[in-house]
Amino acid sequence: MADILPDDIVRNILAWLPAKPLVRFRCVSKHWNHMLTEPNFMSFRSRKSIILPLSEALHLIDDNVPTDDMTHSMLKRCHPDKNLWDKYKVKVIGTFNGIVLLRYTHALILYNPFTGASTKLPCPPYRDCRRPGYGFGYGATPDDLKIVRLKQKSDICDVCSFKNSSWSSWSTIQLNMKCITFENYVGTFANGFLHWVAYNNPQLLIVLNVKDMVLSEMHLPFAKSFIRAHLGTIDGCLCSLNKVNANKFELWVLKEHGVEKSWLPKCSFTCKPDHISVCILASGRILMKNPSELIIYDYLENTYEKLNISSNYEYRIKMYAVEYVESLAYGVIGFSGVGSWTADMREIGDDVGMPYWLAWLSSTRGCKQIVLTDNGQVA
Amino acid sequence: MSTSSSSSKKIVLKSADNETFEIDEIVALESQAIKNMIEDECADNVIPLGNIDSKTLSKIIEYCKKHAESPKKDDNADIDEKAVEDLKSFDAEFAKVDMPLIQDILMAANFLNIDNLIGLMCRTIADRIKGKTPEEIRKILNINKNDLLSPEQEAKAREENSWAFD
Repeated sequence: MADILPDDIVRNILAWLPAKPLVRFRCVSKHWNHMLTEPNFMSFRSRKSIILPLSEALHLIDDNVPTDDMTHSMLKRCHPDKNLWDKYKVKVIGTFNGIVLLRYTHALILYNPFTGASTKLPCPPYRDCRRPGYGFGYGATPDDLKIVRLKQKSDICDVCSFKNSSWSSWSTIQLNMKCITFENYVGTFANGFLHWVAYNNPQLLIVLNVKDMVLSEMHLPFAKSFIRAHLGTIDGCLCSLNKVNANKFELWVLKEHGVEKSWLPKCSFTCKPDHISVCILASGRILMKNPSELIIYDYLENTYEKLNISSNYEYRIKMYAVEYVESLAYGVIGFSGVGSWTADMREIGDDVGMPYWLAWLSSTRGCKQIVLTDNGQVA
Repeated sequence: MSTSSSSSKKIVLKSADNETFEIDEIVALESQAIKNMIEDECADNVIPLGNIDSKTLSKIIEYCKKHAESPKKDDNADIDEKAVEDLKSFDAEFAKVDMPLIQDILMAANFLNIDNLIGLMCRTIADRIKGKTPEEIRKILNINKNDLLSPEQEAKAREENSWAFD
């Protein structure tokens, strides 16, 4: 019978597994628990799933798994707090390193759906602020995380910086924002900038430089759209998906950040008229819905894949989804500065004291330029 | 390609149980380790593989033959779809062996540095263990019994993650 498999081989095997068995397999041995909760392992695995925040539960779709394998292709994870009365209003404002920033009417919560760990964030300052624009991103360095709330029809912008764990307000006098509405729209983060499509002017993008907190405007590359364009990122570039008419979509990519002239058409495709885009996914795919189904459309291959999800009334009303990279490496998060980020997920295995935040920085950045050595130093 | 002509260069592999396998050099080159040996000119006519038994080695050679015959992906852009499908179904058939043999093949592929085969075997194992319990995994993959979590730690982990054990 075979010897014990070497670690790099075991990691290779584990990297092919969906999230649920990974959580279970932490009980296999101390060593497995250690491997599975290593930040390096999770960035090596780097597998994307899609979160649908529905009132019943957060649905996590792993479309690397065949859709007939229902146990693994879709997971339902509970909301972080049973007592939230407004689960139907939940929005995902952003994700980083396996942690999801959820917004309920009166609560902002950081949540790792796989470890169950959650932290409530301080509430933004109270003001008559209906249907604001929210966003989550970082400036010069990924440790400079900020949550942003733009009050609509106003020049007030509330910012929560993770560096000093508190909210402050900015006046956005650079732009005449008096007529801009957001309707609870969540901004798309790319390259240090957050982007919102103005609700009442669907050709207009409001762009926020997260580092300097400067707002600017940019126009989308089309004059007419059937419904509000979807924003997303492809290879780190901002992209927008425009429904041109009842059944035709166009996907545009902003090649050079901040340069309106660098919008390039990426592709166009036709769908049945009842198809609506939900989320632009990496790797050339788009999550779409029709009145009864969720579908992933691959515009490179021109193929459709139906997701095996039972129909839900929320599908018909609204649908919101984001792409997400899960991680078991991070548990509870301290909120007073980067240094206090702790990962309690290793507790049951051993207590190696690695500076987790360095790893966290590298994975937040979403790129592989920072390589971590065994002792947690940036190489 | 059934043209593996007798004129092409041959390599002989010798298994742990002293069985010899004569194969075309092109087949042997699927192994990065053997390729390096040949390039460094430190391969004799017979390459002894002291840690691979003949059963495992013959499977490995079967795999390398098939893959050496198939057009490589980066050769040209328009690889014919049929060849790709053919290779896929070969891989699927190839992986239909019992777990101990899969692990033996994996260890050997790791030693011989055959990337595709390592990937195929890892994927196969992942597929087979994804529905298993931690106890089953310990048996299947020979986990060191001295490295288990304490009963209290395990109970705690199971309770906190009960959803994953349904």
